[in-house]
Amino acid sequence: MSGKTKKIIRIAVTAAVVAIDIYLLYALIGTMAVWLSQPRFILPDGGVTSSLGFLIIFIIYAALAAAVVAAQIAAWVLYGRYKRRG
Amino acid sequence: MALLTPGCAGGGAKNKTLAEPAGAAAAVLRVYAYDGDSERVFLLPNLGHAFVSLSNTGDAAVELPGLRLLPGEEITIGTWGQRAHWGIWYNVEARYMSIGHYKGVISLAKPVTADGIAAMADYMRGNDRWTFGENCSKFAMSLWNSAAGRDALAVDGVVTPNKLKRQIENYSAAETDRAVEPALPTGFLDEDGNFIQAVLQEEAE
Repeated sequence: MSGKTKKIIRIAVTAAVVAIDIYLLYALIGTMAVWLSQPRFILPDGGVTSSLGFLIIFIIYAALAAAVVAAQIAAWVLYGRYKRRG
Repeated sequence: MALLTPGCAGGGAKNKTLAEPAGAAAAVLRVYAYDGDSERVFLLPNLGHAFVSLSNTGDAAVELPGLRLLPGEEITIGTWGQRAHWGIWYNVEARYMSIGHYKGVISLAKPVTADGIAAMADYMRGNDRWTFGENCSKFAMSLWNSAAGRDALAVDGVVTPNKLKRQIENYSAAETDRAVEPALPTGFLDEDGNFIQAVLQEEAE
């Protein structure tokens, strides 16, 4: 594989990783904002309740983001070791 | 029972018609499906919501679990995952619609008999819960089916508002943006069957 091809692959992988990270960050902020904007109801004891649907979606995105970031860190560490070995 | 011209279920054509009720109608049952499109934030999921409403069009009160619906009154019934109660809520959707939510909601109405209402009440008593599988759409479809007789709706797999919407759209009587006036209180039944009223924050301020 030529140096130019390697460079193109590296740029493409980096762009994909950054795009995924940006989307996950957007999704986390967006779902939290949507959840916070849901209509709220006041209960007789003074408590407040609202639909938890978007909070559940937020938690799913948070778990996904944690898994993706962990995978990216693992890949970065493994790639570093691979490069040091030459 | 007279049966109006049955239509074809396929192709999304609006050609299905409803069967007439088997006896004297005591109320009008309506099933709603909202696909979430009008409130979807760019690139984020919004699965929508499904629920039913019951309008007392008869001369006698209609009994639902924990609630008496007087002649002329109408209420929405849906299941929610809310911090205060994971299950059946009365009139949440009517209040949501009163503050501009659910634009584009599609619905289908059918007169129901006293026996149909009793079957609905039975179903509600045994299904006061919300889970991913036993979600709002499954509840709305099953509650409709408990009283709808030959007009029962059917969906494959996990029931979602979008799948339910596609079924409703097959009927020529389907309506868009039919709202329910939030005249009655919003609330749910606690473990002892007492109605716990919840007031919309906008209305309380």
